[in-house]
Amino acid sequence: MDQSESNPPPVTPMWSELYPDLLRSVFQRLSFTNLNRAKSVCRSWNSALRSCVPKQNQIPWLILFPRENQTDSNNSCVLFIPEDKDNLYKTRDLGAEFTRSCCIASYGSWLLMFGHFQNLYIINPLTLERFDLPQYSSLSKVLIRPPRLACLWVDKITKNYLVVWNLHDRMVYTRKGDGGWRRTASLCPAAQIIYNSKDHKVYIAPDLSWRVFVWDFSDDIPRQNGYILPFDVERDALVDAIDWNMGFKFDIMIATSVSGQVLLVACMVQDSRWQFRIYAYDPLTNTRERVNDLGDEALILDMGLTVVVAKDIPGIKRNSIYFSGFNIDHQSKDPEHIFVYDLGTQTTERLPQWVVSSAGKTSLLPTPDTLELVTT
Amino acid sequence: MSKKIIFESSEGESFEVDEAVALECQTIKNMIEDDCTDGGIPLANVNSATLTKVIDYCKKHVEAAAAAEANAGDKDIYGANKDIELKTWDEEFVKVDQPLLFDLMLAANFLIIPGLLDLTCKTMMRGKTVLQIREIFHIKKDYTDAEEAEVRKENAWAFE
Repeated sequence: MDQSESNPPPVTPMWSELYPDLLRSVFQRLSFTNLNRAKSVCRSWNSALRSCVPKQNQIPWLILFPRENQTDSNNSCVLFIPEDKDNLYKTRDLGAEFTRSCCIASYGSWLLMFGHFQNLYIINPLTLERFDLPQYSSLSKVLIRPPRLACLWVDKITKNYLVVWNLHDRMVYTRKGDGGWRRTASLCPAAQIIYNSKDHKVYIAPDLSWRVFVWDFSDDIPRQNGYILPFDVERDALVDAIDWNMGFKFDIMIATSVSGQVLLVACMVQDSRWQFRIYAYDPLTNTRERVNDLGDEALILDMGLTVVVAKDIPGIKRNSIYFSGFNIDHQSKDPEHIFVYDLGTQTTERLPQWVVSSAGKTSLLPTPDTLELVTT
Repeated sequence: MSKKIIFESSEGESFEVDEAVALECQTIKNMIEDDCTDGGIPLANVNSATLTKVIDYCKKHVEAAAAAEANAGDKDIYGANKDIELKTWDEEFVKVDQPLLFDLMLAANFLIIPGLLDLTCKTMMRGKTVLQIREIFHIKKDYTDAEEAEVRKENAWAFE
């Protein structure tokens, strides 16, 4: 840029003509919300912003679903964005059908919804893009309850998608273009299904068994790709922590890290005291290794993923596990609470409800049925 | 006695700094490594006012890094306590008028000072509405009202 040589009257900088590289480096530092807002400034910004894929927003948002019996019957979701905690955002009206559906999985800002007529669809509540999934009546003659076990993946650019869920103890799946549901032959009663987009594999933690099944979706026809036996080690490792005079709950959860590593998380709760052990799974050697430190990542256990905690984003702690407790301890007295377990100090804290109260709308207190976490 | 580097601003004014401070700029670091800094480094596209600020920034960050090293181990769970002080300093540092902010961003880009580039880029639009951004940055609205309404509608959730 040309600057005047001798003490000039201050020249008005032409921000709108900031060259593209630098403009892009400004945009890269914007939050997801601001990035979308900035599109309405001028044409050159709009086109620059469209061509730059926003940085992955690593901090999950809270999304509050509309309820049917709400008096101000508006079918929009309320979004709470931790980076921007002074505001609550609202999506456009998503229609009465959306309100009567329930969310069973999420990926990025996409939601997998189970509709009132037992139909399944995926929808992006921010852009209103929607894909209706095929009928599955040929797979199930009986009415089913909303499945809680499913996983979703949507490619950001091609919009290819994969939906896997557990129907009558079998894994069924559909992909964009499949035109129907396919079912795997082997029985696989699942307790948790996680898709790892890095290796295109689906990890299934079955109920009442201590194997984690691995399905490879990188080819046209998915195939079972062995299983992981996480149990013995974890159990042994946590045994020392159990007081056998009292009841306790124990579970194994799976998660994927930012780098695509599969984590096996052993959780134990006894007398309101939580303990966790994390193991990283190495598919090449089929071995597990204890992880004592998550570094700059935080594990969002209920979502089965870790996020990178940027230094300048307050409100989320690195090297910690965020969990609702409900998944492990179903009799939990306060299922709506989110807890934070610090791996460094090995202590658990209840997350303050600043999430909601800071916006001055305490009536929006989330419950597990109406609350979902999404990352954009 | 540390080695000194001499910068020359676009106005021809000379600024003498410690080599350690100059090393904060990747561009200068490369020049020092190539040993072509004798007789000063002319920075024809950085004026004196901007250069003064840039040097302030580099000095502060060199000092902070040295202090952090001396106090290694004295850290809280979120990182060093020093970080917080430095962050506050950074925030004060970028409380400047728009033309200077603009020049600082260009200088940080040219001299390759990642921290300063990051800081100025982040500051540029923080907490501003679309109207404010247009006004502050002298950007003409080139949308028709209908087009603007359309763009806003697409991203309606972000404005609610």
